Amino acid sequence: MANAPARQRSGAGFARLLLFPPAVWMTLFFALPLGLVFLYSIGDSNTYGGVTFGCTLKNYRAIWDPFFLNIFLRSLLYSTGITVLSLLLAMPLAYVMACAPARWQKVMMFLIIIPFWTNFLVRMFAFIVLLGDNGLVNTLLTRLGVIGEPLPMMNSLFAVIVGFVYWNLPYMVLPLYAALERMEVAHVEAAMDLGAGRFTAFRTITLPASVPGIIAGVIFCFIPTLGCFVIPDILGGPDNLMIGNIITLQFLQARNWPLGSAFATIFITLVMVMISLGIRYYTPANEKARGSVL
Amino acid sequence: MAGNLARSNGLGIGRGAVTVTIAVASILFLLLPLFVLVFYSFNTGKVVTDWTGFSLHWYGDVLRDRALLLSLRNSLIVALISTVVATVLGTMAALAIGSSRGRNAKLLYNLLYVPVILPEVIFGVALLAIFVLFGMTLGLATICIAHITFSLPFVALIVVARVQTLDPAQAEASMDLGATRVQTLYRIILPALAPAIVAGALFAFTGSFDDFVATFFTAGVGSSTMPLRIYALLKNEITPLLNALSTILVGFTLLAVAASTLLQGGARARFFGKCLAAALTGVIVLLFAFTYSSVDNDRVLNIWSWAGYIAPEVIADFEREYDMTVTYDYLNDNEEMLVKMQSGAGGYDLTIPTGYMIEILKREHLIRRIGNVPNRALLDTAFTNLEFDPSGEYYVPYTYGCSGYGYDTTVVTTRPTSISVLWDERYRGRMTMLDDVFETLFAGYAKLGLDWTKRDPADLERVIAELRRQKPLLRKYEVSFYKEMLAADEIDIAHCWNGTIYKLNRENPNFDFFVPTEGALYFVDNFAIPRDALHPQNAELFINFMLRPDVAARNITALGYAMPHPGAIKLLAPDVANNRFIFVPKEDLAHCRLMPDFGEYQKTLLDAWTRLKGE
Repeated sequence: MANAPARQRSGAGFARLLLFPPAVWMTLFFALPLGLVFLYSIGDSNTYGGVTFGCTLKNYRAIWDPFFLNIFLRSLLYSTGITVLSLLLAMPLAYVMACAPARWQKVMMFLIIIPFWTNFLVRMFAFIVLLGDNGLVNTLLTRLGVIGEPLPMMNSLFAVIVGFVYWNLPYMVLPLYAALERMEVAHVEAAMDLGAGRFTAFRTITLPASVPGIIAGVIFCFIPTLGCFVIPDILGGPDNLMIGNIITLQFLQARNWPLGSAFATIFITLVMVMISLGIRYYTPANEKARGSVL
Repeated sequence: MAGNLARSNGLGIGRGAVTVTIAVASILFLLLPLFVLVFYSFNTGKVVTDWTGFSLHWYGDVLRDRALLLSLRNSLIVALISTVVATVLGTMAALAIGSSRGRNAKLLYNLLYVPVILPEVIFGVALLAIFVLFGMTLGLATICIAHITFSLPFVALIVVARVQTLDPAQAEASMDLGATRVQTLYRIILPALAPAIVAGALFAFTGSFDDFVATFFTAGVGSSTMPLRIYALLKNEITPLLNALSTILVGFTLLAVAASTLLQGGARARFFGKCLAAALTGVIVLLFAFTYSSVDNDRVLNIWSWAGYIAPEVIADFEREYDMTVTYDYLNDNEEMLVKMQSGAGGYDLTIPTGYMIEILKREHLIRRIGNVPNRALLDTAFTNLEFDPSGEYYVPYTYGCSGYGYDTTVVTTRPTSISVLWDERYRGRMTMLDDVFETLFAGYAKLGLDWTKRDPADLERVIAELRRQKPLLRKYEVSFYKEMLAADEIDIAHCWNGTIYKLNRENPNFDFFVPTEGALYFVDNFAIPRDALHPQNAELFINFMLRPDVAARNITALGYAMPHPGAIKLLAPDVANNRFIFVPKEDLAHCRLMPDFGEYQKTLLDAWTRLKGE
């Protein structure tokens, strides 16, 4: 143990060495473009796209508008609901997966991944076949006599939610599973052997163990849902613009790159604040006690 | 006791019936669309919700579509490379961040989330600008860079979660026992991280394999990936071909997993596993061999155009006759093309923009004069000096058509003549308007009898009010799939272009099309040669070939859009030549206007349109 401090030092050096390549990569191909986005956001838009660099706040002022704020709030609301729903479905699945024998874990992992092998858009179109007025669900329910008239499911908020939950579920399950898989099932057993109810065992053992997974999963779902425009486009009705649509429109239709970039800058800032807050208030109980693995 | 019972049933503990039911239901939910896809890939017919009989012909179509297979190859290359690099780099970052504490590690950790949350369209545009700044040629390499960049943080985040749960005592013990740091990393840490690394790699692979937006901006000549192809194909029509393709991919994955499972089994199983693995490898080798082509750099033509806008046999004939290799990348939207050309990404020799875009491209010096095309003389002179380029030097007209309304004659029994039918309560929830700022705003102007070229703000206000009144009656604003929605009886009236109704009517004669007396927009799509074209002479040869009467006639028949080519029209079969969906009657076209270039005013129109849609 005498060499522990020295090892700690060289461990930090090793960590820095490991960090160097990914850091260089992300600086070149991410930070640099991002800086450009910020420069765009304080520039002037040309009539036919592109940007004249400058230093103006008018793009930010243009965003301060009840209409845009309204859309932003609506997007937040949708995203929250969809994320909670995804979490409620993902938690049991991840838990069952984590507790299952290794063979079954593999099978389930595979079943969750396999939809990714077909194109996202093509899968979304399958929902048209499922949810349409003459779709499979309506046909089935009508044949069974459950309903007389087809349910108007397509092109509604309902279809959008189904589409989003479908899209998010794997992104929620996988990090949750990764966290729970490390949990000692024996601890749950012990708690229940000691007389804890199923719920108490969940609250005291499973839930704390899954917190890192929940945080990762929520971020993977919540933010992309906020920015996605394809699902509302395909499954939604005439009034479901989300913030992602607005940003995309600025680049691909309005030829207003600076306004789109200003949206993006605000978007990134807001989300960064949310994430930092989430992480600040979450400190794993054992963090202080732990040493370094490197 | 309860615990013991649960343990003894071999399923583990704490898995109440409700939990298991939700888990199973969730998996079924994930697989349900897949079942639908696989099922309908064996359907004879085209309509997505109609089972008309068993057939394998969509599979044949997939195997014959060389461009689609080429894009599959591109996707595999990109996904493999970007997964390996992103997984290695991401794991390195995760180890560094996860194993150190303090302010810096926390900051880096937070930074990892930024790429994950950034709307992809912004990332795409910004990355494109950087590539152009570095002078990099767009292609597979730039796509790989883009994919590595968005996958790396995903991998890192997944692995970090695992690193944080590792027990440092193990690593300490290993080093106390004399292992070096690197040995400890390989023997102790990486194996413990394996599940997270595998999960991260899977994320990276599937994310890359399925990515559209970032790829769209970073793809160059001939590097279209499968999602780009599929997106463009879908914009044209929903085809069961894609179901067949999806089924093939899923089948391949299943077999690959089966092979890897067999390889871990007994001797007999390993033998079958090896055979299966060899067969699958063979399929991939075949794919690469089939899509391989050696190219003479001067005998090349790179086309950037709409999906299905040139008959494939025509391209094949051109390649044979002129001994050339044609690459046909798909274009989705005029504005998207402008963004890409404006950014300086080039390499295409020929593209087919719509009229108003010709004016913009010419003004921005993004296209060049078209010189040597003798067959231009065969064109109808009414089309050769149109208002978007009166000189007629920068474009050669290809097709023309107009917007109007397609409808189901079994529901709308009297043929409408006025646009006001789109405000008719009787068809509430059964109508779509085009999700296109110009088309739908113009419909509003037409309904009120106003002139949009006056650019009067009060007029625009009234138009938006009129469209706002219409909005609750609409199923949605739709620009791509109204044809399928009509065919599947989801809607009765669709704002659309004439060519789609030609195709729909061939399948089901109950569909008709009308141009309202109040007016509609008509379009002319034109050949144009980008300023940075590498083979402009080949492009001119191709345009000249396309204007041959026999070739033009074949294209009209395949596309369902008219061409201003009297010589070609003479060669058409009578049912095509007299088709009123292709050749919209003169009196209808008389109501139609060309779309002008609005310049800066487009931002005002778009703002109004965004507000209408977002309310």
